[in-house]
Amino acid sequence: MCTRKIQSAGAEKCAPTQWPDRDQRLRLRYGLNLGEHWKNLAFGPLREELITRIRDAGTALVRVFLDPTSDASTDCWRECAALLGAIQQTGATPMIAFSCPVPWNDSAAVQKFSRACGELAGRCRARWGSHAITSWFWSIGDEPNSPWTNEGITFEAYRDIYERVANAIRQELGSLEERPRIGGPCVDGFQPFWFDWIWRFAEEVDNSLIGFVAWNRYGEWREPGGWSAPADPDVFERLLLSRTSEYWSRAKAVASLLEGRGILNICSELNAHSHTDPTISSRFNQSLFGAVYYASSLIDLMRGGADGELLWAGACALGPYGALSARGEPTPTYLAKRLIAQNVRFGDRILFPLDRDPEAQLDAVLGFDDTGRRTAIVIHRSRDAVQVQLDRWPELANLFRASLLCESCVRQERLGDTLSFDGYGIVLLHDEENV
Amino acid sequence: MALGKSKTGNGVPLTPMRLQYGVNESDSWWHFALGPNRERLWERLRELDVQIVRLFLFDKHAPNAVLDWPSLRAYIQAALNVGATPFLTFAKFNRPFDDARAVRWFAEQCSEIAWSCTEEWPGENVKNWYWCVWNEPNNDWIGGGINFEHYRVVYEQVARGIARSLAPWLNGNAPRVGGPSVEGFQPFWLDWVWRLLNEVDDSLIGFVNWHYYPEWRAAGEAAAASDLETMQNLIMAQAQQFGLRATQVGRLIRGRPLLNICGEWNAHSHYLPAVRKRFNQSLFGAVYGAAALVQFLRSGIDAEMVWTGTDDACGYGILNANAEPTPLYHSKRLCSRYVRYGDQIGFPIVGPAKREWDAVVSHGANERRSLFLVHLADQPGRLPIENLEPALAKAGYLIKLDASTNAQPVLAPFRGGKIELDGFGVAVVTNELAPGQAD
Repeated sequence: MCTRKIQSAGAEKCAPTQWPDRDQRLRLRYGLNLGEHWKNLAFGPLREELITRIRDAGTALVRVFLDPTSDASTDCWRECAALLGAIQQTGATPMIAFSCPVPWNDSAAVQKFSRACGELAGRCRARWGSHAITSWFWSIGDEPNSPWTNEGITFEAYRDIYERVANAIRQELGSLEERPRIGGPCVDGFQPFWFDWIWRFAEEVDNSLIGFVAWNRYGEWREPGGWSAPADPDVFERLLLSRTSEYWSRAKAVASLLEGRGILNICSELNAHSHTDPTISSRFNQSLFGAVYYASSLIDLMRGGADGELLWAGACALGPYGALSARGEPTPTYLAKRLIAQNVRFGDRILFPLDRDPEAQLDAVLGFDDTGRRTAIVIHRSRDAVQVQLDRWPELANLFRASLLCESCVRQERLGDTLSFDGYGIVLLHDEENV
Repeated sequence: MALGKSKTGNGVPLTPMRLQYGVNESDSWWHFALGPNRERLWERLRELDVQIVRLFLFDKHAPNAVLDWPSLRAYIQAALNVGATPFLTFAKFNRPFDDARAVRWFAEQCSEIAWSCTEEWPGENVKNWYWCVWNEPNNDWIGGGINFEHYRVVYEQVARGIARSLAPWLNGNAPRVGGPSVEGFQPFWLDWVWRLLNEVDDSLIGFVNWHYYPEWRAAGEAAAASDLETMQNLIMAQAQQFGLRATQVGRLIRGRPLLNICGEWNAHSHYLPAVRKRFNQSLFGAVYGAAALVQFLRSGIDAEMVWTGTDDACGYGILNANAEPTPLYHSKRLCSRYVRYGDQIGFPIVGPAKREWDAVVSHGANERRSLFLVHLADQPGRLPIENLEPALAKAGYLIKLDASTNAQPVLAPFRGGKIELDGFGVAVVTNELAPGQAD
């Protein structure tokens, strides 16, 4: 491991602090997915603790998959209702996700499915009222462009399903002043023509039925050495981390398509590695590396103008994705999420100090509001050690307090004029006693 | 050129234009180098302000350097006759990639070609040429199935060989060697760029080359949209990918003195000429190409090379074997004549309007002002230019190319402060016509 000392560019070369334009505000809503069949939030013994954890992480959206065609018995509905109630207790807005019907090309099945989705929305309205459920999000489709999850479905068939389901839900939502928060198609981002689906969705579906456009993005699906991926673990890891710029480019591409339409741009699933085998992917998602990958992705989503992000997954009973374990134990990824969401908040003015004076292994976002609160998240994206002088970036000057994310905690420090990292790291810089 | 202004009259920020225009000369190289219309072809390319020409060796029916040096010499000389810098691509070899002798053989061939060039042309000039290692190594069909680990070995040996051949003229500087010329359809295309930059000796890299086509499927093929209109609109919407990819590559190379080059682009790369021709050699292709050029200019990359210059029934080229231009030739020529290297440029269209229009404003010497405008929608469009470049709103010249002009550039006085285009189209408004434009 080498240590590099990065010198200040010199005060005389530093431009005066450039505050962002008035309009450059954080529009990213933080969120998470509940992993498959995960009911601990509603029924587990640590229910209250989990709810607190999710609330503490500044969670605005929680996405949960519900099966509208399953037996609509009392027990089944009771489970759904308990889960949706618990989500609301976290302070988050539910995003109810429906996969496509099976088989997708049977018109009777599609009709039955859309009716069932509408009925579920109707039961929600009866339980929580029109006002509540009009603020909820309704997501239709789960990676329909992926041959793995929806074999052979065409865009035309998906469009038909979407419009039927969206109409059924909208009927239950009643008259709306704003367009309904219904969206899709939650495309699989590994497919080469993923943007086709987004573009056709925005261009070919009646826009009055679309409240958001959703897309999934993971950094990797291959194991090291498999399918032309590098076998060297160090190269594999660094390469994976380099791909977070895709969150920027994809958010930007979708934002351009949606600008002026009043449709939200949401990354509906993200994490570093999507392999289902925990021995392969857990170390990339649930470690300090995973925290840095996620934090870096969040900054690129902010930079790209995304309106929402949903970590896959906030919570899982088992498996390689969860930021919280079934017992509510946080991973570094959870701690990173909490640190960022609590301090760079929806509506804050934001800027990216390193865009003007980049440093290869660092990235940062600064958030501030009208009360004078000013906080910055700085990420170190390397296993190397590094020391930087903060006055190199005028926007970061005078932030003398730091909260450093470690494997299992956040440590407080008072800084001089330098910031040091020994390997991967996330630091909150601030100037307040308590953040 | 210091023009002393950093914004247009209406506040659009200006930056220096540093894009070198270029072309590929590949499968139809014989027409370009030795064909009966070669001088007309060179003249046409000079009119495009072509600064860089990508040439192939070891693939694309290129002349064999050992068996047919005269043809290879003519091929390179043709690029020089255009006034451009050759960009020599050592495309691949067909021996086992893990065979050290095969790699050594290939590297020696490449360095001997570089050395032969210094024998043929002044070394002081040859040292400034570009030498590109491999073509689309991330695509098994094109690149032969090489993996990155083997590519790295090949790259370093070839680069060192070229550095040795050019050493007497380099004065200790690095030769302009680069790669990996990645194919842009592959999901992990950027990995190859990252690995080149992070796993290869820095002193052996002078540029990064990447390729992008938005589509390879015919309408209805392999889950593509089944109607042509949807497909065209979808392709057009993806012109922004050029800018996004350029920026992603730019982020990887920032802080290093490397060039960022898009070495191949066009609208469509279907495997059948008849299919791709409809997209590349039509009015649609001209407009898509113009949109790509605006993206290149906005992104600040160093060079672009359209695939291809000369074309004998391949469905790509901007000039046929008789040197007759396609619509894309005309739109590229409009861009290169009115948005010139060293100009100050800005991008006045923002917000949702960018889905229908894109434009670059160019400020040159002697108060030359030009607006290069692209209409991205297949429906009639009208745009006032007062907010784009006030200096041009009242009087000047209009050159437009759309369905109403039969995809040919037509010159007229600019009146009324508005541009009207009949569907997909390209226009220039300027206060100073380029030499020969009025002819």
